Amino acid sequence: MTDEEKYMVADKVKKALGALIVSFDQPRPNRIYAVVAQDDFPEANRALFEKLGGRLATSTALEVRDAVELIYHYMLETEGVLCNLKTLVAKPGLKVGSIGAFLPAADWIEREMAEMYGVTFVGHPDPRHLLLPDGWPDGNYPYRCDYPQKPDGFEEQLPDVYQKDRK
Amino acid sequence: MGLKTAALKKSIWVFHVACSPCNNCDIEILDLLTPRFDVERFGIVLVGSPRHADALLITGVANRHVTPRLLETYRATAKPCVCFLFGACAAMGNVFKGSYNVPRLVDEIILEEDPNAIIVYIPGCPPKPEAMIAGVVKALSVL
Amino acid sequence: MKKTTLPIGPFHPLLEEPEFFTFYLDGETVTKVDLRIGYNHRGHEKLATGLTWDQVPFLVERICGICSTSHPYAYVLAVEDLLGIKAPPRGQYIRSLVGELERIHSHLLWLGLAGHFIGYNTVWMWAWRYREEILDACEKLTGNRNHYAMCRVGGARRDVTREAMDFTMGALDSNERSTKMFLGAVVDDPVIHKRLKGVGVLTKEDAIAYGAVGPTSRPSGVRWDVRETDPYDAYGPSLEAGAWKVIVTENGDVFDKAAVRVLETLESIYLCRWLIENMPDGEIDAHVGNIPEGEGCGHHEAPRGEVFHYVRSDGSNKPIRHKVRAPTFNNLPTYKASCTGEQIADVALITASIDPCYCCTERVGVVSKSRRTSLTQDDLVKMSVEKTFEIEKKIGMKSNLAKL
Repeated sequence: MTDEEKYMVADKVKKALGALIVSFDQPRPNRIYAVVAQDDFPEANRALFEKLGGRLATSTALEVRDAVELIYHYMLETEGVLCNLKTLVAKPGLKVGSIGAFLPAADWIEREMAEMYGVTFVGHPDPRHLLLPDGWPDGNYPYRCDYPQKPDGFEEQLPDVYQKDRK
Repeated sequence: MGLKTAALKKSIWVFHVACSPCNNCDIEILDLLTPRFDVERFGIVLVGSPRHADALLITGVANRHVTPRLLETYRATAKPCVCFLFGACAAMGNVFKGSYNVPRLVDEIILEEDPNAIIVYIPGCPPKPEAMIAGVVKALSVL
Repeated sequence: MKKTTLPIGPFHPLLEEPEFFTFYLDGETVTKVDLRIGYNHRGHEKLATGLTWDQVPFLVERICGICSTSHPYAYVLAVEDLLGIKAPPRGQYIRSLVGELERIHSHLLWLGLAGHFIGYNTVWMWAWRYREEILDACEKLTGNRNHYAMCRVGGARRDVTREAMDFTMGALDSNERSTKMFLGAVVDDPVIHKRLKGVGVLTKEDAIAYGAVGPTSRPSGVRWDVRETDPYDAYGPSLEAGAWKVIVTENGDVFDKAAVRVLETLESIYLCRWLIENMPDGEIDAHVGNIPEGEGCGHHEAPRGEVFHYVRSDGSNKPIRHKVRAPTFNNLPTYKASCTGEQIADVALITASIDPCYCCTERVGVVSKSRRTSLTQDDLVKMSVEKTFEIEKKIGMKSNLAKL
């Protein structure tokens, strides 16, 4: 697809998302960034997956001042455009509808974002820890800005399964 | 090949312990069995259980989840055993030193469990198979 | 329902990374699969926020040793996406060449492991022996057998010499002969057909729903290849010149997965030749200065599928967010679809067929209705090997691979 044709893809995406779009940007021909509101997020994802046939490559969560920003990256394979769907999940509630409830591709990545940032995905079929070890204490979200890079003295907070090996 | 005869007398049986590796050192260890390097001609065999092993080949950093399992494996190995720490990750933490999930290095963990442990460091990222063989031979000639 | 647990490791002789599977059995058939990972989590994304932009490639290289240039490649593509620049042509071609050589040696590695699981250890030894030639070529080109460190933001980190490229051409020629030998041995072999065809089928719908990538979804008829759909570096020009093509098949079983990988190895050999013959002269690096505010996504087709990196910058000298997604993360959940309804003797093969990299079999728990037993990784491999020999006896002929 040529660059001009890729710019036309923006119209397709705008039509699929309709009134849900809060802001829209296509800084390069093959990258689109669309922002939707927190409550409309599952519906917008469903639109991208079902109407446009987008493939969920992965999702990113990152912490900004008053919220956690979620970005779901969809690859529109036939057009060759990466369409990134963003939303801001407000603190302190940090609740958003789960995409993993209807899209198996989002299942694991939502588990990872939940344990690393403390976001609750309402309706997720299997909200267990994915990567963090057994017995990881609640309320410790490693990728948050206030979590130290090298947690000194953190050992003492871990439960006995680690303490007993240290005698 | 220039190997000392002392090394040929001992055919050590090794057990491969991959803690949290990137697999590069593990692939190079398996490369040692393939026709180009072929350590089986020295009698070095990869065994399926630590209880049969003379030496442990440890690769990767020890993250929190794996540390108790590493200690179980060390306790299960019959003493005296040699712990070969292959690669920069096992020897000194490599780029992962200081990560929240990697609180202690492999040698600290083993020495805390057994202060008389015999530990051999073979640095490299990954150490070439020739370096691994050279390291093992050097260690065995000193022991 | 009585539980049967199989402690296979975590540290076992053949496979690397640890992982925990639980298979629920009904007789010999698997009814449900549960996976537990986390044995390999080292906190790359958190570490990357403490390193400068040009230190990060060295960190991400060590995410995986077999697809070691894929992660830095995707990362530098992400930062170049943020900046809106492209590397100079020679730098692009050097990066693509190293990426393709990695694909060849990674697929040959998988071929060896697959041969071991089916029961033909000769295949394992021979595939890894031929792989050594490619590693020699990598060492001549880049200085190391793995962890090449050839990617830098804005281009390639080191130039390649004419002498190294000539040596690589020789290695590619000899590798083409050996790969064609493997192809001939695998594709027409009746025992392999009976053993692998129809086993561990991943349907097209499941592959799309799980978002599986790479040689896990392409054998199911899903034509997803980043080098074709979102071309970058030298892949666009080489595809237009017809130097290589994307391999897609229809059935989605383990046989197709093996065939796709061997055919992709051949295509990579042709592409490497084209890259060396058409290597442009000139600069290798775009000399990038400060990274301004912004965000960028980069993806690269690694041997196992699409590697995806996302970076966010606030104008300082470190990334404030670096997201890494390895292809096996999307491919692993497909076990729920491909292992259900299969026999326990095939489980070792099916788990190996997606070429798991980011986390591999560490422990396998098997839950059976009838009794409590313990199986190890060696037991699973032995079951797989016994099934192969039973098939050989039933059809009355030996596999081509046994005659190798």
